[in-house]
Amino acid sequence: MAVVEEVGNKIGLKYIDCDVHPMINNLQQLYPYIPENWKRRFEFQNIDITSLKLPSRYVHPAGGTSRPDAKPEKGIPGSDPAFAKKQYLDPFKPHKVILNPLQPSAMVSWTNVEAIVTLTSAFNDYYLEEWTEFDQRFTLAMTVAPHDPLQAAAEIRRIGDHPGVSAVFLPLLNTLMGNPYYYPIYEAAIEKDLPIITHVTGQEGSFVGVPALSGGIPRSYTERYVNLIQIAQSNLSSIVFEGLFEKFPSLRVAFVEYGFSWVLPLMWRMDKTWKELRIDTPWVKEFPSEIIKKNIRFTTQPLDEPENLSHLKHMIEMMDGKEFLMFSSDYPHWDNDMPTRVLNNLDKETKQKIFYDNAADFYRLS
Amino acid sequence: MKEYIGNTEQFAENECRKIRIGKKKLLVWRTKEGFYATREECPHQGVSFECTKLTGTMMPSNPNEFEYGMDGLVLRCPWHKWEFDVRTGEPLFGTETKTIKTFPVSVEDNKVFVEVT
Ligand code: FES
Repeated sequence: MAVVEEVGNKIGLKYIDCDVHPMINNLQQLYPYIPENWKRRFEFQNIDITSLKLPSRYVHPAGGTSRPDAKPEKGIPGSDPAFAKKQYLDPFKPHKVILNPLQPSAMVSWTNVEAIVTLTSAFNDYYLEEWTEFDQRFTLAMTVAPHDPLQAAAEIRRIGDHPGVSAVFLPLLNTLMGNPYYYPIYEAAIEKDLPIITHVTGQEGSFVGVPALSGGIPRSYTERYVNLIQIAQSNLSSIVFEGLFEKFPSLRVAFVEYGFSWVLPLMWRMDKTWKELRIDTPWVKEFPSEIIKKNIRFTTQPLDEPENLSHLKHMIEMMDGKEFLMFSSDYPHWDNDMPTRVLNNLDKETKQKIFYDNAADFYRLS
Repeated sequence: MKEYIGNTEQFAENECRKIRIGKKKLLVWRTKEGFYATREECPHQGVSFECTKLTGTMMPSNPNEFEYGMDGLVLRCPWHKWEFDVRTGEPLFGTETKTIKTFPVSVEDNKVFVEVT
């Protein structure tokens, strides 16, 4: 096939995957990156960071959140960069994949700030050394601990210039992103020309201090999965109506793994409400939809799949999605969207922007 | 054609009087800057502005700062609160594209005239 030969992959496009998840199998893997005293403390505590299942309200009904076929010979899915290379990078040939580590982000539900900060740094160092140096197509969204924005900012300044870092992963507390609480993190990210991404942490609705879900407590994993978009909606409204980009015009923000089909009706509602009640937030100086299109990005997975797939295509057109959507697979998770199988009905220009241009610009990866 | 619609003292500041000229329904407003005439109805869902008093607004500002301005020059719809500059009928700060039609008003010897085209 001519296209395949041209770009060297089956998608027919140079593409960036904005959501791939690396994991560790046990805490000992982080020990080379943890100060001796903390290592002793974690040993005393006998911490098993890989098991957050037990205290969680929402356990996957089919046993796991990963693809069973993504399990390497030794360890859990996502724990072996060589296996990820063999199973995903080599056959699909992405230009870059953004690593979004979920184990450190799950520490949003912890309370011991110093332990969280120590482990977060260790995770960052581990992934930079073991993954981004293993294959330069892997690039890291370095995690920060939102529990202490000043220490989070210091972490960004510590490793933000590393060539393997392409974004700051901000796991969320029950404080909305427009709140000045996060300003030190934003300032440091801007200083290092890194975008902020936020991603579902799996802790939502399970613990005090992490984002609560609206209206009540869902009973099942399924209910919560469907409702996770609420968190992105609230944070998007907060960012816009708190005037975050008035304060930080060069800040770049992305919502990862929240899907996007909810964005269009929310933009409509935000625009209408701004028109009516602008005096409530007079620092918002243009239509919220314009602010969103300029400064905020959304990744595509998990894609909504209406019976008639052209409806999704129309929705992307209606929302001008080619300007602000970025492809993501969520490899190696159970609900991944593989690049050869999704969004195939988009026109060439839209596909080019969603699969490559928007992310290349957002993460500065061209 | 210029129509005489009353003497200045018949108009209260920041308020309007309803004027009928032929089939046209107008409101004539007295502001601290002078007299202005607009169509009676909001271009959105058609409510009458008759009971509305002119006000000011919050000017575009820095985050979490409020800056009151345009005192007495803002026509804020009583229903969905769209705001217009009463002098021009233009929506404020690019919030809308629909405008309110306005009509020229002049004052001669205390007499107020409106020109309906
Ligand atoms: S009727 Fe005037 S703003 Fe809706």
